[in-house]
Amino acid sequence: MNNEIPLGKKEDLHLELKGADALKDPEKIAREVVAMLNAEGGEVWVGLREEEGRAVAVEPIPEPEANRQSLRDFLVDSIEPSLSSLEITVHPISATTGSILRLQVKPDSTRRPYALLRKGGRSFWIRIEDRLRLMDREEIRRAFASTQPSNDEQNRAEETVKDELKDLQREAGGGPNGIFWLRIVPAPEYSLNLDALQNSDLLLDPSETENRRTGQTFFLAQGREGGRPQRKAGRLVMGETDDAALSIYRHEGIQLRLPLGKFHAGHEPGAEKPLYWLTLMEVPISVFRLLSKMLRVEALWEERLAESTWFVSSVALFGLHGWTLRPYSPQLRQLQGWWDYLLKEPRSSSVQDLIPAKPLRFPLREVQDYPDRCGFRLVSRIYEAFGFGTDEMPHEFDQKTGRLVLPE
Amino acid sequence: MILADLLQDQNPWWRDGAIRRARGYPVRRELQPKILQRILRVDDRRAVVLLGPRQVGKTVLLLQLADDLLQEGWPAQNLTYFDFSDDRITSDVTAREVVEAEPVGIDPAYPRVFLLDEIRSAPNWDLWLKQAVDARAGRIVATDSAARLLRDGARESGQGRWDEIYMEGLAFREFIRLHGGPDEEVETVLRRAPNLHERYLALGGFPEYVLQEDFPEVRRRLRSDIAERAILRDLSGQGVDVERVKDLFVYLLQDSGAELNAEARARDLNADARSVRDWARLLTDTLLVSSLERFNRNAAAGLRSKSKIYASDPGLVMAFAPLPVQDLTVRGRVFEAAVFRHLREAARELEGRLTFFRHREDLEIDFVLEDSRGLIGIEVTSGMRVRADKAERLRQAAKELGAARRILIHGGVIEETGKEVEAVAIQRFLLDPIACLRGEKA
Repeated sequence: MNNEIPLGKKEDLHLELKGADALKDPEKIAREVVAMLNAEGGEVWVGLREEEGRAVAVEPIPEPEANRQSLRDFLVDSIEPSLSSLEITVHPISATTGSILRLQVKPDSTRRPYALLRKGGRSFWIRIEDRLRLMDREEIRRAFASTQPSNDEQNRAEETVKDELKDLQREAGGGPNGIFWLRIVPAPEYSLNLDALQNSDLLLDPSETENRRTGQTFFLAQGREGGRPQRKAGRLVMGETDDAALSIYRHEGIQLRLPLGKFHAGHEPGAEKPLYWLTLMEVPISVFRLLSKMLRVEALWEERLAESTWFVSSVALFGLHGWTLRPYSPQLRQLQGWWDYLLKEPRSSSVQDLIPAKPLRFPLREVQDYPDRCGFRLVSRIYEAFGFGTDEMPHEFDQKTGRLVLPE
Repeated sequence: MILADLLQDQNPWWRDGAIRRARGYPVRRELQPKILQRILRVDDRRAVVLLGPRQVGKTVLLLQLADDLLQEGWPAQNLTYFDFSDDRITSDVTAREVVEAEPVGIDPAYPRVFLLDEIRSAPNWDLWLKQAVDARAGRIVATDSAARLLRDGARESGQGRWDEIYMEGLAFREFIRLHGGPDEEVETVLRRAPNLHERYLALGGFPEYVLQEDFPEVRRRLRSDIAERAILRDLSGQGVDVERVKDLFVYLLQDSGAELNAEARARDLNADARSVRDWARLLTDTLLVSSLERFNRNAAAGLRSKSKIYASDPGLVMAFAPLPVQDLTVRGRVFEAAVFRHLREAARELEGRLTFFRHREDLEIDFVLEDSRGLIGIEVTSGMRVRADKAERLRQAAKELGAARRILIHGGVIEETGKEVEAVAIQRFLLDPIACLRGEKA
């Protein structure tokens, strides 16, 4: 028996059980998914019979692949906003007697509230413990209000990101030198005390921001000589050249720029310029961990940060020609993992410059409490550009806890 | 297995001169070209005895020497490698037997070269080596993982006949080279990976592990390889209780940089203090720990005082740490072990003497280097910033010591020269200790 199947477990806020019959009325499943999206996410299992809220038996699903596809299509069509693969995944899971379906639901708090489209109308469901109910008018209003920064602020932050991307694109000009670029812009602008940040240890010791001292972090910008971060007009800069620098602005967030060479994985059979999965994962997450820590240190702020602050963020890679990426990771603890990893065909990027069309948006609370999740969502865009889904990304990022876990 | 077969197996170039045994190890240790030059010098008949702890790469260095000599056009039959610790050896093999087992086709125009691994396992090796050098039997490089090789009279035989060269775990520069691409400069690698010193501190200088990402697994393997092999196996013939010696070893590593309190350890180990001191000496002979005497202008008094014992490599401190590796105490010990490792090598090169200094039990300097230029006091702190009180105490202690220069090596990246104290970032020190000791600016 596949030990992932929650036989014997009870339904709760994060677990919903449905028998195989539920596929005859997929709207019921969609309702559960919407309710989870408006709560904390979780898993819906289709093909598990429940008694008194507890999974007691497997009910195999006929033609699991066909049913998986049709259920997924139904969910995408009947839920608003339209779901991405980051928000919902549907997988057949093998049991001794056949396959059942597991739906993993991961809400994007910036896109709430989610609604079920029904007969031309919308219904907003929310999960409370193991039950669901319709959201009331006030709950819906609050969900919209807390997820939407004002249009002006949103537009301004997005324009900043887009303008900088255009400048970089012009600068890179299809040249041979690759650039990694990550930007986080607050909406509205905030006022950071750069002196306090310079005098803190956050930019001296990676462990102060819960990063690994030995890790592939934003300290890669530091260069050979290291040294104290320097004050420049309106920002604090760590790095020896413009090509490799972490800039922390007083009002306009953070920018990290690194030569793509820093992401080279070294020798990998069958790949001329392999991107290093560890650097790709750890660098963006390390920047969000820095921001998360900054947000938690009151002394770093000239003014108290508004709870409604948002962050608009994007990652871009220029000059990807010739670079390749393999899915997953070598699973550090297993020698067999290396072989399995190397047997995976490396893929080339479909584009020379990876510039996501629309930046992502994160509320302050999400950056503060789940920095790894924010970084992961940016990294998933890089993997997407190489044709990989989130389930093919390195498993060192634990999707359940939302943490990147690496050995120290 | 008979000796002739074993020799054939260990010297595959005898049957095919194109075979290279160290092809998988392209990066050379800094010592390697120096030893190669020694072999190639016709006028120097002295042998080289290379001493270093287990797993620092002595065997690979010998095999690289073989590869490089073959590459230089040295006749393959004139080159003999032999590992006296080969598990297939069932009865004692002497060095003389190895030399006398001549392959067919030796070129008389070239001397023979003998690369003898773990020579201590050969009976009467020192007597043979003395005679072999006197008789100009060829160029000889021998290795071993025990310093006691040079005691018990062997040192006397070796006078003028062989040079002892110590090989430690990787120095930081060598560690960087292993992370670089072929022909990539150290500076370029550091630009790409500026926190390599943190990796060095976390993993240490055992070459087999430096490219690993799974740090906990490296530590587990170091513990098992070092404790099981170096201690249990190597010391099992010494007539001591190896289990208790192993326990003492763990104590010493967990307390790296502390003075040996034989009485307290004796109580812990249910032994007497004299045994503990003897065991500590045995462990120092394995070169896995290194002792540091207290500075004293009166040499005899120096010998009477307690020595500090350090792990010879920072990786060992990490591997045996009883606390989480992020703990500041562990980090402090790792820093000191790394600095001491580099200072030992620098002191040998500068022909200096290395000690620690203590005055009235309240002023102390971690390391004192005394060479022809005078005294340098070197204090180590793992802090990211140089604390003013720490610098002031170093200044006071150095004044008592009479040290002309005071260096404070710290874990940060900022270098500032304060009042009579030079602050040096650990990365710069590890990268070029001699330049730092000579006061050369970065």
